[in-house]
Formats: sequence, structure tokens, C-alpha cells
Amino acid sequence: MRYIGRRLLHGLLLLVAVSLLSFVFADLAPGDYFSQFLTDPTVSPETVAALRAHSGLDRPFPVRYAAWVASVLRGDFGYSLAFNSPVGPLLWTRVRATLLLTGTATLLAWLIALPLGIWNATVRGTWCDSLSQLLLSFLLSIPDLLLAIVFLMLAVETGYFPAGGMVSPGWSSLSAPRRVCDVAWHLALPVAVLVLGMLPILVRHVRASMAEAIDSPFALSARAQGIPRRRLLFRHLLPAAANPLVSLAGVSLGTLLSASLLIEVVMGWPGLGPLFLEAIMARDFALVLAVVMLSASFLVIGNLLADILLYRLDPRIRIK
Amino acid sequence: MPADSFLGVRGLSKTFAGRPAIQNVTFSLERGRTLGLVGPSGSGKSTLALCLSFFETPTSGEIWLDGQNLCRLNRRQRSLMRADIQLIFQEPASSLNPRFTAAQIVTEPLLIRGIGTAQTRLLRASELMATVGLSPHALATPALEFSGGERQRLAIARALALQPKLLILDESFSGLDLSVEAQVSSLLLDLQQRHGLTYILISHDLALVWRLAGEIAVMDHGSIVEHAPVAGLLAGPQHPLTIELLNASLALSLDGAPA
Amino acid sequence: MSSGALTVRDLTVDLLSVRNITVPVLSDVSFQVAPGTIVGLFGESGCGKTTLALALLNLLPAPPYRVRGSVQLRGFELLSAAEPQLQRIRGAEISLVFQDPLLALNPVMRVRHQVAEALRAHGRHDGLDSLFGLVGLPATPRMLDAYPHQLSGGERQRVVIAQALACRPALVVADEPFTALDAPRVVELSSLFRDLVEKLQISFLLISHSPGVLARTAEKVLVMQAGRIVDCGTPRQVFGKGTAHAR
Repeated sequence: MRYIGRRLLHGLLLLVAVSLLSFVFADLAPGDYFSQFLTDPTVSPETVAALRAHSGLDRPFPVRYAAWVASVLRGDFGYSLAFNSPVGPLLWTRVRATLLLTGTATLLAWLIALPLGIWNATVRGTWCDSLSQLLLSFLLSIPDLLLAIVFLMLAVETGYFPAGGMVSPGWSSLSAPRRVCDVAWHLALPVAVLVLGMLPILVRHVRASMAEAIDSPFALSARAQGIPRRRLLFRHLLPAAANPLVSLAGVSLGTLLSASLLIEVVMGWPGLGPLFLEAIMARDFALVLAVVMLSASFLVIGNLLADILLYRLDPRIRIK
Repeated sequence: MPADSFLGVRGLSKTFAGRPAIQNVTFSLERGRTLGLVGPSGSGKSTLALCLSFFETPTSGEIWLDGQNLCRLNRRQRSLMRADIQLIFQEPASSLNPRFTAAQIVTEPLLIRGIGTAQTRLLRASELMATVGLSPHALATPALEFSGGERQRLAIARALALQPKLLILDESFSGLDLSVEAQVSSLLLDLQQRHGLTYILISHDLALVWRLAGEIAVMDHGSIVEHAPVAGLLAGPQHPLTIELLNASLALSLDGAPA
Repeated sequence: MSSGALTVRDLTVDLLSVRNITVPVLSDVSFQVAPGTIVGLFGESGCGKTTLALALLNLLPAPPYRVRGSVQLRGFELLSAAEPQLQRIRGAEISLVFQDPLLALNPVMRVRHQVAEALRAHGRHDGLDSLFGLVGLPATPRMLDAYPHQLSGGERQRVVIAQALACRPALVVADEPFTALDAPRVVELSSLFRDLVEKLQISFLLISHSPGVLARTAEKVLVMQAGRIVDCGTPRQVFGKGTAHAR
């Protein structure tokens, strides 16, 4: 319990540091939301200054930071100037869409990586393994964006998949099962891109962990007892190999919010990505900060969950 | 009075998370002698070794070495004293970095303290290798290419680099073949004679302790239950645990001597 | 040729090393273990004892090891058997007690499950308690639900022995089962081995580098050096004063 408390405190400190740094970077970047009006001849500099003062953007750094912290503690994440709406509701729909995408992709990636990695570990040294490694290296070296663009081109050329968006027009008039199908159809390509991007690293880790377990003395001992291969692999070796994989799963969890931002922009998925990009372009600081903090929080929670899970699963850590 | 003998330990205790590992250990050892420390696993022998060599801070008690109270030293003085007490562990394979060469391993203590130049350190490494019976030509060989016995000699050479006064050997012989054990034993005896080293030999092998030690302390559940010169212990053991250990050793011996 | 015996004839094992050099590990090893006896194998580290132990159960991976010769258990040839047959024989007819019990036990599995798995491998689903009793372990929750790192060295050793005995094999190959145990524990366990031989007619091939242990436990001792059997006889003959292996 004390351990969790300490980790939560660390996480909190980390978030504070992230927020401070974000403020510093935003200040270092030239201009703010209202700078765009400076190039507009119809708006006078005095008006711009007045707008700034009205939004509180001209106050000194500590004041602005303190004000932000105070509002966050109240549950208010600020006001987006670019979208003319409070940040909270703006984020909520987008976060849902992103989580749908990344959640599906992460789950699928792990579902494929586990058996694939285990199989790889058992066929080490054979030509199957070499081929597998080659393919995975190839996949690793292809940038996600390139994959996204290629898939998009395919979608446009063949028409089998939609070239963007989460739902087709007239979605709300569809029956419930059809609605699910429609979303799934739109999910297919972005999920494919993300899965292909995650697979190489996941498979490598699973393979390495399983290989270590397979080569261990207790695996040999179990074979000497006549324990059949399949049972040995799944009932004996996989739990022993789980340690580093749990940490990796935590990282996967932590990057749920941030992994897909660029892909979303390219493939037109209405998640946090496009919103974030627009906010950055418009220098809408409140929104940018909110997205950054949300991502950082996910990371902290993901790692913490992984640590807790590790603590619960590994008797060597749990019982001293 | 602990301060009079070369090594004096009084009331030493160490508790780990509420569990006492050693309790109220008191003994003294003269310079140039060998104390054998025996007892079942879990009796606190290793904890005592760790406390004596500064790897663990005792919960209470005093350690006196050569007239100095070690527990009253500040950090700088203590780090100087570390040179005087060296610990050699059980598994030579795991206490030596397998990729380091023999030269690197043996000169590491000198390097850390900034003693000498690279030249003089290398010379000292040759000396040390010769002292423990390894060929100086093997200085550039990585540790993993040495056999178990040779690695143990490397560990001893490394321990000798800073010219210690007290050497603690914690199960350093278990797992070694008999012939190798014999060689390393005679090396240690030889070094003791030439340099006046004092040893604390921790082992569950009573026969080994009988051969090398002048006095034996038997530990059980964190305390010393019997402490006597070797001959006296064998002739008339007092504590039931000692009797049990002796009987078992005799049962495993070939020729009536403790095996 | 008595049944229930292990007969090894001209067992030769070569290791193909990384630089494509063939290193001989065992050369023309031949010996017999009669039923209901304990045969000791004495040798220094590096002489091939563990390789021999693994070879007897055909556990050496085919590349890089090359195994030739004959290992017959109760007349059945092990070296040419197929993997499914071997899996049925290992643990049930011949079993292995590994050298370091901490490494031989799965660190994330409770003791009770690990021993139960040894039983389950050959179709037995009960007998855990009596098995524990056989090796002198209390079948208490503290022992059964423990993980390997929570037990003492002696207790771990007994767990590994329990696994090896689970399905009452004809022969148990014990590779240095007494290292790191103190003398009273060694005496207890060697007496346990002798008891098991009498009660269950199990044979042991006891590998050890301690002459005292072999003298106390084994009827016959084989001496191994550089992959060959160089001497064979009773402990007194092999270790007696004046022989090469005396202290």
C-alpha cells in the first residue's frame, strides 16, 4: 500500500513537471492565439492587446500557472479560444474516438504478438525463424506514415474501405448492429496501420522472454519429468516469462492516447490527433496543454498499473 | 576487552525487517590466526560476514580492528578501513564480471582508489597473479575463460590488491573440486604465513575448517553457541549442535577424520 | 542382463562448438546399474558428469550435441527412441535430480503445483501428501503453498527429489544432490536414498565429487575423468589410501 502511495506521489510530481515545462515551452514559442490577428489589417494592435488582456494572456507566468492549477483542481480545464468552447466537452468525444482506435489496435496487436512470439521462440534456429525475423525487421523499418498513405491509396483505388472518417453519412439512422459494422469498417485501415507498427517490437519481446524461459534449467527439469510440450509451454514457461511482458503491457497502456495522433491526422480519424494539430497551429494553448496533460496522465497510470500487476503476479517481488 | 585483540566483536546484532539475523555476537581473534565459522544455513554466518566487511550496517554492537572502533568512524575513515577487511564470496563465477580481463579484475580496487598509474597497476597485477599461482601471461584473458578454481584465485588476488589485514571467506570453497580446494587451501595457508593475514573462514564443510582453522565458532539462529580451539572442540564438543555437526561429518568421512 | 537395470554401452558424446570444432565430451562410457542398488559416479568438474546425466535421458539437443552408443533401460533403447516415447519414459521410468534446486524449480509456481505437475505428467492425480511424506517434508500449507525462494536449501532439495520420485521410476539419476547442504542434512538425505532403495527397489546413479558421500551411500563407484570411466569398484577400493583419488 505504501508502495502504491509513493508511486502515485511520483506520478503527481511528474505531471506537475510536465505542466511546468509545457508552460515554459509555450512561452518560449513566439506568439499566442491572438498573434494571427496581427497580420490582419482590419484589426488594430490595440484591439489585439485588449483581447489578450481579456483572456488573461498578458499576465506574468506564475500568475497564469497558478490560475491554471486552481482551475484544474476545480475540474475546469480551460477555454479553447480556437474552438470557442470549454476544453472538457471538446476533448471528451475526441478521446473516445482515439481510445476506440488505439484500444482495438493494442488488443489486436497483443493477441497476434503473443502466439507469434511464442511460436518464434520455439522454432529458433530454423528457416521459419529467419524468415519471420526478416519480415518483422522489414515491417519495423517502414514508417507508420508511409504505411498509412499506402493503405489510403489502396482504399481510394479499390473502394473496399473508406478513406477517412469514423462513420458513414446517415449513420444515426442505421440499426444498432449495422452501426457497429459501419464503425468497424471505418476502423479497419487505421487499426491495421497501428497493429503493423506495433507488432515487430511486441513479437521481439515475447520471443526473447519465452526463449529465456525455454532455455532455463527449470524447463529442462520439467522436460526430464516427462511433462508434455504444450503444457510445458503454456502452463510452466509462459508465467515465468511474463515479467518483462507485463511491463511492456504497461507501456502499451500508457501510450494509448499518444500512439495514434499522427495516423489519425493522415487517415482522417476524428480523434485527438486532428484536434491537437489544429490547436497547435492556432496556438490555442489551453487545448494543447489539456491534451499534453491527458497523455502524460495516461502514461503515468499505465506504468503504475503495470508495476502493481507485476507486484501481484511475481512472487519473487511480492514475497521477500 | 575487544580493543586489545586484533579483531574484537562485542554484542553485534543485525535485524532485517523485525527478524534478527544475528544477535549479540561476541568474540575476538588474534592476528595471524584463522577462525572457522560453521553452522546450519540460516544461522547468520553470512550476515556476520557482511557486517564485518561493511556491506551491512549492524543494528547494534561494536567491531574493533587493530585498536580502532569501526562503528565510530565517519564515512571517509570507513572507506579507508574497507581496504583492511576484504570479503571473498562463494560463487567465483558470479562475483567476477565475466567480460573483464584478469588484469582489470585484479587492479579494480587500485583503480577505484586512484592508486598508482596504469603502469604500476599492471605491475602490481602481475605480482598478484604470481602470488596466487596464476600465470601473469593470463592477464589479458577474460574471466569467463578461467576455470572455477582459477576464478577463485582471481578473487583472492583482487582481495589482496589493497594489502588487507583480515580476509573473510564466505563459503568460498563449496562447489570446488577436492584437488582445487586443496590447492587454494595451501595457497591461503602460505599467504598467511608470509604476510601475517588473519582469516575468518565460513563454511558448512567441517573437514575443511578443521584443516585450515585454529579455532572454530559454531553459530545457530544468530548466536555463537560454542567457540573453542579446534583440537578442544573435536575432543570434547559441548553444544548439541556441535555434536550433531561432528557426528555427521564423521559419518561422511572416509578415514575417521571429519569429512 | 537383468531387467530393471540401466545398461550403458560405448556412449560417446561430441559437441560441435561455435567455430565448427568437434569437442569430445564423453568417450566410450560403459557401465551398468543393477536394480535396487546405488551406483556412484565420482569426477571433478568439467569431466562430463552432467552431460552424462542429460545423455541418459536423451535430453541433449541434437545439434550441437552428437550422441552415439547405447543406453538401455530395462532392455529398452533410449537413444533411438522417438520424442513421444521418451516423454512417456522420462519421469516414469527414469528421472533426473538436477544439481541446483533453486534453478531447477520454476520460480513463479507454488511447490504443490510443481510436484503435482510431475505426478500429472504420467496420469497420477493424487498422492501428493504421501510423496511429501516419503521425502520427509511436512505437507503443511506453509510448505505446499510456498514458492521455491521461500524454502531453505535442504527443503528445496527434497522437493526436487520428490518430483523425481513422483511416478516411482526404476532409476533416478541424481546430479550432485548434496552440494551446498551441511553435513547433518547430507547424512539425512543419503539415508533417505538408502531407504528408498530398500522400500521401493529404486536404483540410483549418484553423481558427486565428495568421496565421503559416495563411500557412505554407494555400493559401487565409477570414476570419471575427461569424459572416460577410468576406474570402477567399491568405495573402499576406489578411495582407499594409496589410490589416486584419496585425499
